[in-house]
Amino acid sequence: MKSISKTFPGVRALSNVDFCVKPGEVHSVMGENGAGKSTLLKILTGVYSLETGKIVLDGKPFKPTSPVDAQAKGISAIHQEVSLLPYQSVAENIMIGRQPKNFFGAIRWGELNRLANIAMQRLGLNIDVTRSISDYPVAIRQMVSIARAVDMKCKILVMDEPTSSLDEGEVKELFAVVRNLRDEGVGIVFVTHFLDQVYQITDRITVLRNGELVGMFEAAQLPKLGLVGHMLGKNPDEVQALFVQKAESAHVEGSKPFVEARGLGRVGAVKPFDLEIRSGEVLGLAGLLGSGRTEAARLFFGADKPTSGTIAVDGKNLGRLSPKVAIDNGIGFSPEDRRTEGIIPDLSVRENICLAIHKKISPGGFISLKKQVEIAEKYVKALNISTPSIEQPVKNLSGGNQQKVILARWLASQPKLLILDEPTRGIDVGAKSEVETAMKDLSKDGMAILFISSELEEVVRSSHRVAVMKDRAKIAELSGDQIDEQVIMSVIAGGGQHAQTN
Amino acid sequence: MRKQTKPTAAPRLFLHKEGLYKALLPFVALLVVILICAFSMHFIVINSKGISVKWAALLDTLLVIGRQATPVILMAMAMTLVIATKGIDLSVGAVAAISGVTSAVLLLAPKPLPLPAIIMFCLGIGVLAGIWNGILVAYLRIQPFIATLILMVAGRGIAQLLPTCKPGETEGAILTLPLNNPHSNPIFGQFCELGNGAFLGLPNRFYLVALVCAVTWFIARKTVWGTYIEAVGSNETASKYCGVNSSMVKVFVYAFSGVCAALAGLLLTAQVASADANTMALRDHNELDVILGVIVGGTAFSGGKFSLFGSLMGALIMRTLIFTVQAAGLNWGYALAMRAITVVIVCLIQSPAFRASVANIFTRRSA
Repeated sequence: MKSISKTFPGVRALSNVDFCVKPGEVHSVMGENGAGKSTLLKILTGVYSLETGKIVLDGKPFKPTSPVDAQAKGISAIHQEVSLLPYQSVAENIMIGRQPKNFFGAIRWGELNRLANIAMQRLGLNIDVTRSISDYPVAIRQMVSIARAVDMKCKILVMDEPTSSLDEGEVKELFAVVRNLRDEGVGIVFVTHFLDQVYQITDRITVLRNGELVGMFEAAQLPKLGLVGHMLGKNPDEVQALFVQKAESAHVEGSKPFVEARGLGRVGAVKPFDLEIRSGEVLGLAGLLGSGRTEAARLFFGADKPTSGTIAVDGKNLGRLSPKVAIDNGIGFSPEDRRTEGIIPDLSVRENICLAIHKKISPGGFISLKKQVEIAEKYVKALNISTPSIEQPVKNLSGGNQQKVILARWLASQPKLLILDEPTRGIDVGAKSEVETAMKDLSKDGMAILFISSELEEVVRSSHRVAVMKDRAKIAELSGDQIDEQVIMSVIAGGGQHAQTN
Repeated sequence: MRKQTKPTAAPRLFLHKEGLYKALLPFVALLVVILICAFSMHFIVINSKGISVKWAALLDTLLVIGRQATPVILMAMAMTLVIATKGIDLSVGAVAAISGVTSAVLLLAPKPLPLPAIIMFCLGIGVLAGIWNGILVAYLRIQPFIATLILMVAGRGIAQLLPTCKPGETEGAILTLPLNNPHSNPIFGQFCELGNGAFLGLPNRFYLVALVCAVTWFIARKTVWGTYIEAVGSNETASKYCGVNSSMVKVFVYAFSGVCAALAGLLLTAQVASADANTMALRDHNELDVILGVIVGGTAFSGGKFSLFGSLMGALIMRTLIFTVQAAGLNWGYALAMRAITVVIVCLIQSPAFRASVANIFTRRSA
């Protein structure tokens, strides 16, 4: 792929990216969220149309018009969410669209099952292909996807986060199959957020950042730390110098913990962890996307139900947590996905701001417009929300102002702990600094804040303590001088070996 | 310069004042439908002598339409709230039938309960039916369409079987309250009087409608329930994260819908002093009139904002159309066709995409 660019309304998702896969190699595409990995791969697999640049396949120009077209020409994709027909048999899934038929056009079932069996055996799997896909675990389903792709004589196999729903044993099996395919001469493009897996299997790595190509590297010659540096846009040499520095956990002097989590975890989302958040401090959760930081934050609010561990507020165990219980105990939550989980699009700015505090301002369930207007106007002014009026439906506001409305909603509830998951994503620089200033002021006033951001600089600037997440587990807690971009990166890259786990 | 800007500004003024426009449209539509009705029945005659209007006859007709529309309006009020939560209640017709037939069965019992007890019992059935729907939708997470379809089908069956509870009756019989028999229980008269009588020159049921409309409006605009209903319909996840018990909100709106349907059923029985399970259960598609009325009134099926006034107008529009077709002696089929056409027209006018393209034509012509 040469000089690939792609523009979406308002965003340039890719600019002049080159990418090249050789037969018989495993090639990782790395980058933070929004770096353009998916866009690049979707162009390759025909989901998006090619805008500028060109793709050459086996020396011939290649312009896929659809995923089906790309597949027919030898490029198959296996997605994170396995795309199979759940209630059809394994054999039907492998042979779909290519069923062997007899003279009358009826499917020859025996032949179909025989071919499917051969396809599965090529991957070293001996399973009953006549059983329905839904009878098998995710790992097998993944194998079936691969079998289908291989059976279609694919030259390039694109695997987008294939391991995200697999356990360690299953990952090993998958990698064995991938190595087999590589040895057979298939070019494999591999995308994952798990750094360790990249090094287990990859020959070469292409790094993208903000839609631009950072470079292509031999995996053997790019240390983990350098990779993290490239992904985040930091000088790897600079990071290298700090790699040896040992990060230690330390306790911040200060108030007693407001919230204590003990062994809190959720199967498949985040491994059990301990975490304390004190009143008056900003606790940053650092980690790459998919590291479990969002999942951890959601547990504190009961947005997802924990499967293990307990949460205590002010020393009192909360028991079964739900958003309602969390709110009653003074916890506010601004979710990562503002549009689907944060704003109520049809309601006005006033109604959105007042939604979480009706218990306080509407005694007996009777609303007072006057009180609502008062509160809404106060926070619109305090947070500098720009809207024609407080009666404007919130869906008509810009992203930054919507974010501020959500912030206003929780400030109005005067929480003791505010969880802010990516409050600065997708908003302009001015709004960003306003959000940061608000956080600083609030913590000074004694509020505890749990802050998540993909931008390490923000975490470093705002946090009093930082908990580092990796591969769905908390691996370190940093405080004081240790709160430094390079230290955090080295902790992430070091897999926790260099940091004292807490 | 002025000449150029004026034509582009005109459709803009008319077509883009969302709020006012949305509120006025159903009202204007009702006036149009009433005019059509008046012309077809020759209450308004235009000839060489000018326009002559038979006011008395027109007013009488409007009163009749209003009386006939009452059950639909009652159900439309609650349906508006249900639809605002992104739901739908297909079972209102069936619940009305159950309530109507139950009231007749209870009244015809050898020793009937006192009238208030009978009414409360029927309303209670409505609440239970609504809670059933609400639990299916909110807690068992069944699609509202399917969840209420269950009761729509089952309820019709129940309404037909209920008369057999009375000894000696066969399945699906018409239960008639013997009003004219001097020996019969005065309770029949009292029941029908409540539904059909008049007070201060206006039918009793108008006061009932006014009361239900006022209660609905109060719940929707003066208590947190209204905000919660809109919030749940607009973004359920986000409202949960604000501490809104979305399941409770849903059970509440379906229960309210059940009460209103039961009330409508009582009126239907009182209206003709009989409960014909077959007609109530099978032929009258009341739920469709109710749902169409809410759509015409401008409440979106996508949930969120709703208009009670619009639904009131919508229900009246649907009934006026039916009355007009019936009064003109046309086949029932025409009534169905007229309803369909009206809904299509009103929905087209309400569609922002359609209005934008119309506005486009205006601007292009003027340019």
